Amino acid sequence: MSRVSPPFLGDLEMAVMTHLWARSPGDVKTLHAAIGAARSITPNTVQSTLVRLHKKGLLDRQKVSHAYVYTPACSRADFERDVLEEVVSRVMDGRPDAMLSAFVDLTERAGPEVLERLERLVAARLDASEEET
Amino acid sequence: MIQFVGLTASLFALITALAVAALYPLVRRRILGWEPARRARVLTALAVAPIAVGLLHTALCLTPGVLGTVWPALDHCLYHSGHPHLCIVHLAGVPISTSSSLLLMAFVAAFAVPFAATARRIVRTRRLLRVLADSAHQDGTGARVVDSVRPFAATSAGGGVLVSRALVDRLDPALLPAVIEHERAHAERRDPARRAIAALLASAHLPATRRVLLEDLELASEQVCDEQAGERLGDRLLVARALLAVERLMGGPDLELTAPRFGGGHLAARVHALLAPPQPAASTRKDWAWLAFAVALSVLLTDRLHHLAETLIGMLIA
Repeated sequence: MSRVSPPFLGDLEMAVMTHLWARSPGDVKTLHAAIGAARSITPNTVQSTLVRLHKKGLLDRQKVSHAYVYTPACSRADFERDVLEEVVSRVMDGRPDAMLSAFVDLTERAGPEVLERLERLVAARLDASEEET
Repeated sequence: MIQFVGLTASLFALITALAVAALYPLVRRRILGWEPARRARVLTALAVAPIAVGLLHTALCLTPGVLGTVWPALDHCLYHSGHPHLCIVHLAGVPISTSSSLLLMAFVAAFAVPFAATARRIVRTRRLLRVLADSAHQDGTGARVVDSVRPFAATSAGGGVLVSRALVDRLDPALLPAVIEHERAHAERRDPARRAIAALLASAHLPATRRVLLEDLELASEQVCDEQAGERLGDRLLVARALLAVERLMGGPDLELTAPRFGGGHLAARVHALLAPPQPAASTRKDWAWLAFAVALSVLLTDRLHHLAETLIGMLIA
């Protein structure tokens, strides 16, 4: 599967998560050295990003000495799967959208009685065409 | 000047929207009986009609003024009076009244609000679909497979044909080609893009008319692709069976708990159409001929339209 680009995380948040999935645990200092310096951002920005990800439930943290050390709360595979299901849900559960042509209506169901009646009609037609051949 | 041009375009768009709102319920049953491809063409034309007619007639109304500027002998503004002249020379100095400005703003808002809401939804869905398309992969089914536990099949503008892993795993393999051929037909016809444009431009219709037109257009597009899938596979019944099987999968074990659409909605109409004998394809020439006739009539009536617009504007700024 190609890499999912979750719409729910910003670039910096995604970079932090990617780094921690590859090299965990990490603190503000190590993360700033790894991804912050190249982006010309301050350690404070990295810190607030880490706090935000912790509040989103994506990072666990533990206080070691005077600093927090962060570890991912889920694997990258689990995260991508959850994001994908969330995207599918948002596409399927929203109002019908002109951008999308679905095989059957994504948002409204025919109901069991109608479905059974239609299935009987199709089965009868199938029987009739099999008898003809 | 721009306010008068805006008022002219708004007035013609409003007249067209009102005409469609009044006439469509009278001809709807007849149109729904047409062959789906023709129905889709006509419904698309009706959906975009207020904007198209508004722009075309405004351009035509401005033609005499533009011609008069280039060639003064054709300046017909000198030959009539009593109301403002819709031309780029004589209208420039006429002030627009506050009530007319408010009316123009109301027209613009009535169009802009649904237009912005539709555009916002399109952008949002496009972004989500791009994520799905990025995550999808080929696996020999002929479509791109999304690793989702929810069964679905869809075509998106720019995203191609997408089917979920759940659908591939749980649908009878004999029915899967019907799903994929149907979605491929949508992709080839660029239906999502067409429908997105129709939905945006239909913003100039009254809300109830817009909803009915777009729903009927959606049904027509689906039926065109049902027929194309049936034709390619040589089995229209297979498409009907696939529709019902996917509907059952999408309803899942909670089918009884879902709110059903009265009468089965599009699903029932599509299945009934597939069980009926196929309708012969209607000639596109006939539709183009009607369109050409309408445009030619508008051009021939340019002078009358021009004066009608001037009279209406005169009433508004009086």
